[in-house]
Amino acid sequence: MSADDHEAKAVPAHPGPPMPVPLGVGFGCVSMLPDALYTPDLLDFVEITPEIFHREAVVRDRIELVPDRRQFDAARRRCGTLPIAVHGVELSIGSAHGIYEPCLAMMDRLRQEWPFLWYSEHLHFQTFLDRDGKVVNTGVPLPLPATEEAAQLVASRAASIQGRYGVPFLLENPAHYLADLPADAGIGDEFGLMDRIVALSGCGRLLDLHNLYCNAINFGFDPKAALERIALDRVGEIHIAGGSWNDGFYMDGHNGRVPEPVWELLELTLSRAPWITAVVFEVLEEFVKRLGPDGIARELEWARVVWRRYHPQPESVA
Amino acid sequence: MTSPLAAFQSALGLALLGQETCPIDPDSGGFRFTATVRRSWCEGRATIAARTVLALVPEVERRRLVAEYVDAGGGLAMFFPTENTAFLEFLAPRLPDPSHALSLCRMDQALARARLGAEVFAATPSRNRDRRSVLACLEHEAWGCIETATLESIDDEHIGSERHPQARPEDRPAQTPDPLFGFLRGSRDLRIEPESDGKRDRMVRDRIDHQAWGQIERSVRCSIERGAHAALVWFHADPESVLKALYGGPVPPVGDPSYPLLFAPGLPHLYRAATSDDVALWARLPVDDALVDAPVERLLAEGVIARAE
Repeated sequence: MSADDHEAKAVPAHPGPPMPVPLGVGFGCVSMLPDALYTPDLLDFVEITPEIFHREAVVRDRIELVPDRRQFDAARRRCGTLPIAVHGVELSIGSAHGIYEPCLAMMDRLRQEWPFLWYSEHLHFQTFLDRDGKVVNTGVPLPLPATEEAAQLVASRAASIQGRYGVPFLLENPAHYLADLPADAGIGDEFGLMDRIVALSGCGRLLDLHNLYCNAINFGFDPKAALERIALDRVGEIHIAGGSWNDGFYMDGHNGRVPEPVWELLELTLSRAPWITAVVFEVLEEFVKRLGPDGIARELEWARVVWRRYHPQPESVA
Repeated sequence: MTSPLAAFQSALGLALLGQETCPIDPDSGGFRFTATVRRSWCEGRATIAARTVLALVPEVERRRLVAEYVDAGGGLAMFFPTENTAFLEFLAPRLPDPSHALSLCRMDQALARARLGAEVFAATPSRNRDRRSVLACLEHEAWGCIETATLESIDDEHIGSERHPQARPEDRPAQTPDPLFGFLRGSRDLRIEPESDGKRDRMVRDRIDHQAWGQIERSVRCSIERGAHAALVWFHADPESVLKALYGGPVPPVGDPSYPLLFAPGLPHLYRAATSDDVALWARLPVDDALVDAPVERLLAEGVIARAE
């Protein structure tokens, strides 16, 4: 069944599968880091991006994503017994012409082979149709207009995906630089769009605090005030990351340490919503060398310190 | 009819490519910055995809090649191997020949192919090509042909007439084997005795001569070809010194192509140095295996060569 099968129908509001009880701090599966980092002493789970160890192949005249066995097996060995969640990057859930279907077949196989606790994706679009009707990649993820049409489209797909995998499906608020996107009066802005999608589909939210921080800086709003607007009861996971300045914009570069204001946003969020399942520190593989294993471990340790303020460990019995 | 969302997305996507009027303010800092980020991501994807090759290309030339690739629509692939394949294909004809960069480009392409092949590789089963097995094969084929030819000669309404090409074996009436066939079968001798000089016997002999022997020959001989996922790449300096140059070592001078490496899916690390025999055979392929003197079992097991079926 395609995720688009439910389109054009009104999607009933219904709660999706519940998120697991609070897990703790997670990190991506980065091949160049030492295996020693992937230990329960430092991590409570691993967030994998399956596209990294898949490649496109034409199978029976159709594009499929087939696993690169070497990388796939290495990732499994690395994660060991740590639980996993999936953070997809290529579904393009907001593309009007259709999602990238091979991702769903990839996820079907993954669910059988390496079960995951939840599945998240980004609220954006990465493909469009050109004048000849050919699918073109945007080259960079682009935000959706805050319209009812966009909300309906994404909500129907999100509900379908959530039903397909039987685990919570979360949508992540994106960072972007386009201030004057079209918007319907009833929806208003990016926050209204996410609210509407969540309400229609029953999916959850992945609250990326660094993306929120980027948009707040670039569009000139108060991130703490924006946090007040977000219904935290539907937040299942939080992302934190570092960024950098370029041409007068603050970019979500995943290229460094978490800035202090984002740590503050994390404190604020967890203090209000201790039921949130997980916090993930994100860093792009290209910048792992810059931060180094020790630098990454320090960020993870600090995330755990913050986490434990709101999730005290039971006293160990002597 | 295009929906407003689809129209917006197409217009924004094409505007970022400079191909359509922007649906939002094209002079806004946000739009211009998004275009800059997009360009940077495309160039970044391409650079990562061919990192090894580009490392030995001078900075100015590297930038020019990446920019030319992105201008031509490159750098957009969602998956690294797709980008890698596309960019290396773009680079190969544009790199100086000879150059270490071109050798590395061909090496990367060969490695990608070998890696792809390794996922499904099964060595061609080795055939016993000794005299006894060839004779056994010949005999088997020969008796099959003789039997067919003999039955056909009986089945023909008029001896010497051509069978209708559309006639299927199951359409033919059941026949008792010709006495000649029994004689031949009993003798287990391929030779048709000159004493059996009747018209029918000559017909059988003719059929064997003109059709069966060709089939026999085809069945016992086959050709050897290059493995589908194999490649031979020439380096113009010791490959180890070229690879060391990628990590800051001195770049060796570009000399004669005297360092051949073989890449194949059955090799332990997907590559090894090629011997002079390997190189000589590689240059001759495809070739009839009857013309190959050297033992080929190792090359078959490595996936360097394959038997053409």
